[in-house]
Amino acid sequence: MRISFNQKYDQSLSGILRAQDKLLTASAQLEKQTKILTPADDPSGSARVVALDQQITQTDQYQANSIGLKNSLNIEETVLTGIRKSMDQARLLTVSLGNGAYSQLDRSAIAKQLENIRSEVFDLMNQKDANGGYLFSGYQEQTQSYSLNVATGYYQFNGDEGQKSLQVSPSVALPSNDSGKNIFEDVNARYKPTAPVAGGGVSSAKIIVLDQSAFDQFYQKNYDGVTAANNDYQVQIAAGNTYEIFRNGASLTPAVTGSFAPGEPISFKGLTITANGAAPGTVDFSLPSPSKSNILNTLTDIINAVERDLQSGDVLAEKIADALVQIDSATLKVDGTVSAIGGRQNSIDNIFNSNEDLQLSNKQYRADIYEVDYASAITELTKQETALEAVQATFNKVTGTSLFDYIR
Amino acid sequence: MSDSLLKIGTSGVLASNGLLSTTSNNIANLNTKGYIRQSTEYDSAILGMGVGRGTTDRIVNEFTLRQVRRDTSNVGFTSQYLSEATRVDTLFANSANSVSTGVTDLFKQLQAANNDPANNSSRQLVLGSAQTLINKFNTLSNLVLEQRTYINQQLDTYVNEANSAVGTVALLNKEIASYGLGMNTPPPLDLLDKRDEALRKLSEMMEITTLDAKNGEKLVFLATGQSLILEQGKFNMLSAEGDPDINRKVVKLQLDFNSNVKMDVESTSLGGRIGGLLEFRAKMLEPTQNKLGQLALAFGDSFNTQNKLGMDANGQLGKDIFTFPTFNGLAVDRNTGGGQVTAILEPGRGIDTPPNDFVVTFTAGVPDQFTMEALDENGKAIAGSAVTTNIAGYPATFNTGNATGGFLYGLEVTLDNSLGAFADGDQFILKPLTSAAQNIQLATTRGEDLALAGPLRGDFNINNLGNGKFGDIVVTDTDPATSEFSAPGSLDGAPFEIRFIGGDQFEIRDSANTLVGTTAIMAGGQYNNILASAGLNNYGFDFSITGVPKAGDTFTLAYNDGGFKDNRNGLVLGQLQTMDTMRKTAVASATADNKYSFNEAYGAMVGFVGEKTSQIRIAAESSNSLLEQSTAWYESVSGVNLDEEAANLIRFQQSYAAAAKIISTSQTIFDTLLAAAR
Repeated sequence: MRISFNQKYDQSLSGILRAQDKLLTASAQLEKQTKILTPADDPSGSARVVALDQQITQTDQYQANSIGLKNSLNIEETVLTGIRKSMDQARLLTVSLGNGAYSQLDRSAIAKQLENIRSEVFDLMNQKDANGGYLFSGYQEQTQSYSLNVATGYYQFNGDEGQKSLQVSPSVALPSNDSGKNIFEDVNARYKPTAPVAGGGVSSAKIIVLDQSAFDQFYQKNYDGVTAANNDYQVQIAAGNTYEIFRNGASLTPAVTGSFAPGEPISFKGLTITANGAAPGTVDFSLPSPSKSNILNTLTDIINAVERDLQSGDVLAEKIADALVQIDSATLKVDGTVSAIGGRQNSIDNIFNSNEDLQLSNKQYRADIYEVDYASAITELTKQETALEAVQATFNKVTGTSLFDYIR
Repeated sequence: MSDSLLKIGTSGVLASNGLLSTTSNNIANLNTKGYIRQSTEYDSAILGMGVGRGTTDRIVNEFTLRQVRRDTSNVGFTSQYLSEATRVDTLFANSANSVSTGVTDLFKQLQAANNDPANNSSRQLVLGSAQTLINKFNTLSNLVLEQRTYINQQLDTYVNEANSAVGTVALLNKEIASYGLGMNTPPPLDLLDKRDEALRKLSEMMEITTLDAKNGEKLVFLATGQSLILEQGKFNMLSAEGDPDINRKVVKLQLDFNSNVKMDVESTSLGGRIGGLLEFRAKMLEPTQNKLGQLALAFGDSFNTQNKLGMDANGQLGKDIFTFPTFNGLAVDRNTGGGQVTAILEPGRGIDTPPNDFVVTFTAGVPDQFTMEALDENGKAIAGSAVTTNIAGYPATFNTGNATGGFLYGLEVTLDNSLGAFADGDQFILKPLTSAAQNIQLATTRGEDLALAGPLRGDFNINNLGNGKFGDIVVTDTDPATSEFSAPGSLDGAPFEIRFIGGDQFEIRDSANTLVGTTAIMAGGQYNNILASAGLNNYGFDFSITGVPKAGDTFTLAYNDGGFKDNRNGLVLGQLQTMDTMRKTAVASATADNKYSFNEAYGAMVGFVGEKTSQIRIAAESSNSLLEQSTAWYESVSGVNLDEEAANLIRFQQSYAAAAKIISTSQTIFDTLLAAAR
């Protein structure tokens, strides 16, 4: 093919320009340490890198949340363990109050110790967390969890039952606190029937809870929150020294009957009903509405019984029974919460570890798409350098020859 | 005898002279752009009387010229497109501009604020990163808009260049035609060269086809078949105007015989640099601008909507965090009415807006109607995207609530005829996304306005016998007009008492102890959506009770006063990062997956830009190599080869010397004759 003068130069020049362009690209890749200088270099890879970057940053944040969550839960666990220890101590002391050999002075000394334990527990319940908010107040962290109502002499809970959750993985948010309402307030007071009212020929009556668990079962199944009258029970003693127990005027199914002897205890669902006097007569008692008592109020009750009311004997024994049942319930609640915390901490550990693995494979994937392989990049750079030198040498040769050099 | 020798010698010398001058002309014009080498040919004279007439011709093959012009147009197209596309491509390569990292940072700060909602400094950091994100949107959008301005300017420049080339060709046509095709007065060859060079320059600007007319003129047509240069030196001109959007210039053809008539030119088939600019703008710049705007709109709107469902650090119901501008419908030039159309983004419906522009057409009738359609990248309405609604009175405002089918692409459109009535067939172009990314702003800079807490709080009565507890409270609407909430932050009738009356039923009473509803029997012990079950559907929220309540148990639902550690709404805000909040296309079947999340949308945008640029890179390379080949063919026919000319110089020198020798021979003969006659 016939080559014109301009063609010679244009062709060689474009060769040099192309080689320079390739050299520049290779060195830019090394400088920026990436295969993808602009999205046009790898469109689908660029899109994938955008998605991976989001996942990596998100997972980093989840890991930070996990660590924060673990810290909060550790603080809560420590506080609850301290409260549990105090509760155990209180129980021992309360049991010892029942010792018949003690005098009022001895009992007073024990009551003072109980007061100390009460202030310890009060302090722990009002503990603040690392951010300066109250641990057990739910959402209302500026409000002190427990305070003493001077008018009633009892302690009240001032927060709410909210739980703040932290996101530790895309679908899992774990609570970082527990509300005092659930742990401390939601403790059932001891179930017992109201004081019996004797009527008719019965002169006096006494009811004792002999089998607390049986009575608890009966109470929970039969207490009627809708119709109050359904909670009134009546032991009707008929003339023939038989008795039948009625509920709101109706017989029970199956009917509860038996023979009656004055002074002989009648057992009914864990209760022991003792009636004195002659038939016919009635003994009325009812199931009171359920109430709750937190540990502070339980201790207050027993302390008041000893210090303020100077009770002893049977009356004190009732109070001690109340206190023991309630301390046990409170302890159960605290234990339950501690194990729930433990469960959460296990979850956090598992999620943290799996997030770490996920993070590793995400970063690996991203590096595969985005980062430059140094060996191949440096090889490419050397190759382009050599190519450029070759093209420049060729330019010299091709354009250097002309007939005019040889014509004189 | 000798006089014939003289004549022959003279003719030989003159011929060699001519040949030498042609060769010298070729050598001298080596670097002249568009020069086609010439060669002279001689006929021998009659009766053996030496060399006769000589004609100098250009050595050119018309096909090579056409090929070069065609490939020049292609290279102009792809190189212009590529240089613009590379600018947009580089924008997205720089991770400092990346909107995706801005969004991710915002959500990271949100998580940190969720961990400690009462701490105002972490809330402030969230707003700080929101401002950074907005700055990124603004920067990217400004850079893209700058490119639009640049395209307008480039279009002006290129159109002027094209027009001057057209003018030159038309002038040269006239001059060449005046010479005629006769043998006696051939047109000067440099005029022909100049005309071909002007045509080549023109073909760089746009694709042309040429036709040879009988009188030596060349008629030029655009690739669409519209004529550019006509016979007898008449020509049409191009003009760049903005219609209907003055910021978006299009190319029109201005007719020679009536300069007020402007014909539309199909921009997709223009070719050349002008075509490359227009194609880049339509296929890459505007879709990217729209996608960016859609991202800003959908993000801001969904964040606003979720923020309004929560409670901020002042105990009030949340408000907007981002604000958006209103935008005007642009009246098309051929509208005859004077009505105006304005629109805003309907709050809460950002998920319905696809990345398109829209056109609103007014149809007069009984009743008047307006139709809204989505436009594709060529400015044509997309089939199946029309939404038609009747107009009851003016000014008429339409949104999702009162449009036909309950769907208006997430926009609230107002038609106003106070400055002039609408005429039948009037059209208005709506471009909600173009300036959205540029004009989005923060509505507040105070960290307290971030609504991280939930607005409601449920408590169980401590004296309950059962263990029922409040489940999740789901808030769907806090607008005082349509829910039980009131501004600035309270719940009407709160605190509500929910009482379990046994038999799987609940009673709901308000603060005055009035019974407001009783639920149906919820068998199975699953007490979900209590309010819906009681027929109370307009409260704006609903909840469930978990566990086993006993008859007589009560629960309280109240406004979340003092609940500053609450982060329930903050957690839902955080979920926005991975929720599907954006619409992919304007028209899709009912079962298609037409939604995706922010990051997916951004990734799709980056992939789109990268893919288009990569395609054009390949097209540019191939068109460059095609041009090289056709140039090589053209040069091989019409290019000057210096060595060849050097050899010719020697040759014609020798023939000149030989012919001169004939003259001196004839002189010697004459002298001999004279000497013999003495």
